[in-house]
Amino acid sequence: MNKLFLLGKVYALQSLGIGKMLHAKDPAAKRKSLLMGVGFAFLAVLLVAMSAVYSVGMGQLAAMVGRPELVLTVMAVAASLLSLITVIYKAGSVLFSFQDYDLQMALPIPQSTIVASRVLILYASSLLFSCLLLVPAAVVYAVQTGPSLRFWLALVPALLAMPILPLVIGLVLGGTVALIAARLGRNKILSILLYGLLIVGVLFGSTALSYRAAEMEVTELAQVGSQIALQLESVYPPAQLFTQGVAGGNWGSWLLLMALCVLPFALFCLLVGRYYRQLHAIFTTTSAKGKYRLGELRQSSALSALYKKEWRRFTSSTLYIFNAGMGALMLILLCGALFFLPQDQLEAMMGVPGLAGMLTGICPLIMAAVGGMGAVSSCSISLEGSHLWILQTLPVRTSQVFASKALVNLTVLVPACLIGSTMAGLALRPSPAEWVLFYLTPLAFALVTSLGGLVCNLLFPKLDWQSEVTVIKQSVASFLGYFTTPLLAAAFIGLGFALHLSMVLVTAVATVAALLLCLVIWGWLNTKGARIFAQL
Amino acid sequence: MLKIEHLTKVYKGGKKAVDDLSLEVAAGEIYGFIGHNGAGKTTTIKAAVGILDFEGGDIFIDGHSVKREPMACKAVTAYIPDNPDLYDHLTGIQYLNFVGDVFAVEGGLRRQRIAKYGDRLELTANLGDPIFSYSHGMKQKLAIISALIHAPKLLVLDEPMVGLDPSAAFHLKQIMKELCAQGSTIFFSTHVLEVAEKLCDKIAIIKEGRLVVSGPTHEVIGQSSLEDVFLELIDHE
Repeated sequence: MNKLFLLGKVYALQSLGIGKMLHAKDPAAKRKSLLMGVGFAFLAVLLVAMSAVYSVGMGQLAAMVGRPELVLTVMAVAASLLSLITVIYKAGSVLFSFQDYDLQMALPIPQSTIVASRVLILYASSLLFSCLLLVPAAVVYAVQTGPSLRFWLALVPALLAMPILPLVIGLVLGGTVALIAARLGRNKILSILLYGLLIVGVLFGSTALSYRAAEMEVTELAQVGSQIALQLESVYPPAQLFTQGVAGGNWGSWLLLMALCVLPFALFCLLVGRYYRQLHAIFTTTSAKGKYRLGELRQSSALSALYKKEWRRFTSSTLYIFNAGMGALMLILLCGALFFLPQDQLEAMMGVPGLAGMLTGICPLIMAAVGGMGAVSSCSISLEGSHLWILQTLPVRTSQVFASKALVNLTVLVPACLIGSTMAGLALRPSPAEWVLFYLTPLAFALVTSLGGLVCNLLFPKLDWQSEVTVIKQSVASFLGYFTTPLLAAAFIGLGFALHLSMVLVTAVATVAALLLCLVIWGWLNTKGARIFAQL
Repeated sequence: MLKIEHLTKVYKGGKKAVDDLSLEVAAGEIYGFIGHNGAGKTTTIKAAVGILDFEGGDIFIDGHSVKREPMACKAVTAYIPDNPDLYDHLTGIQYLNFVGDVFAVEGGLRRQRIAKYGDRLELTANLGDPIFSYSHGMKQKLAIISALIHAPKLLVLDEPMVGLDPSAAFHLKQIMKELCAQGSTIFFSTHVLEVAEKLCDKIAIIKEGRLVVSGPTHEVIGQSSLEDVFLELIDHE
């Protein structure tokens, strides 16, 4: 246990930036780390508030059918599903592909302990999701039913145990896919297809559920909601055990839940620990073919060379593709859904009166917001990591480096914008002027996302990483890359609603503003940004 | 070719890694840079190739200031670090083409040089494999080829023999002599004193960021060995 604690401590100090915050001599670096911590805490509070609102709505529906405990069931399933999805495509990287593997394996630490430490890294994020969803749900249930102390005593261990089973399932599934993919020649294609199917399936499922909900009266929804909850219990028994054990006071169910969660974890760590070296070898060892014959070589420009290098980096990592490219995927799915969703149903679903009438005006900004979720460029500088010396010693201008990274981001976003805009336009049939905005607005904001991502990364670089998960999923820069463009687009939408302006006018102004912002950002990148890059 | 004038580098916290260092390397020379761990060798090298900024002095490469004309300096310089972290997601040939494109090396000439050095270092057959499948020595060889692909005027190496098998180390020494015979300049740090003694035209020994001795190798060594000179200077200064 002591060694497990030590490994966890090293991870926290190294990868979460706690070491830098505690020991950095530079006051500015310390302040920055502290600010980041405060920012994350603020975000956590925001997410808890959003979850609470959702739980209150769910709780009211459950109370209407006389089953208030169903809010716990639904949230337990949601938390488990979220945990499963996020673990699946991180499994390979976190379990097998971390830079201090050699160091840890050479130390007198049991392999099962090393495996447990890697699993606990993922457990921490799963626990976060679990708490975000289940704590508000538990509070809502408690407010409705006024349970005894026994409820709270049963809740805390159950809350800690709940994420473990989906975590183990996710590790098995994700690890298996990663191991199979590592052995096949077209490894990235297989893993991309599998992860893509999973994500599309989840998105379609939740969209279909929301669509159905929009069609129903509240009482009907409550009835159907309880049926769905009961079906969820039968499909995912731990959710039922959670509800019975915590809300129902059934200690047998509670103990069974604990066993169901903890035992697979222990078994997983022991088994994987037993064969860890072999599994790691499968994942990481590649036999060099050694059959290359030098052919004709063609010269291309420095910018082209940098772009190709960046593109190959992006496509070399499934995690990078799906995390940073999520916005592009969701944009296409959203616009595709517009084909099938009648506008009045969309209005009911979104809860915005009069939305159908202003959809053609607002759609470009919504596309801009969705497409901007996840900037490829926002972690592209951090991902240089220990390779940064190459760019620092080559005769390449900083503007070329930045341009190549932004171009990769645009390569992902521009086709998605064009496809999405065409589908949305065909579905909504805007006027000629609106057609122009349907294309121009998402493209302008795509440029903001690409350049803005670089700014985020320059302000919050993280070059000393052991696993790319730290940079792609857990860094401040990637977090800002997710939210900056959507917030900007949402601000314009909000302004339009607040001032009762024509949404077409607002969109046009937003587009011009976005293009001007790009000029400002590019200027900043080539002056202050270049200085920051030189100091990295 | 390489002129370091009163170079001073101070890290955050006040640690002076290099203190008023001056030395000059003429074209066609092989210059060895020797010192204890933490003496300031790598800091000096990184300042010269543009990785590190520095507080005092200046560095000139082919007459261009590293501070004011970094692009001109980098265009004629090649750098090989002691532990070359290359782009794992590229194949060897992709990495060489990347470097070749940045230095605008024409395709035919590029092919010729890759073939020449790839065959000598016995890496040609592996150029189609991803770099993450390479051993440390193979990465070192690839870094060497990438440094030579544009025929640099100044080749800066940090501990170049680390990780190389005896055959590759021999070939690298031969390549260094050939480059110098063609007018290029080599500046490298090493802990392998025998290599420095046999290979270098001039030697500098650095201790705690300060130059202790520099000059033609035979003058620095005199009648004893470089090892004796080094231990005498470093341990008894």
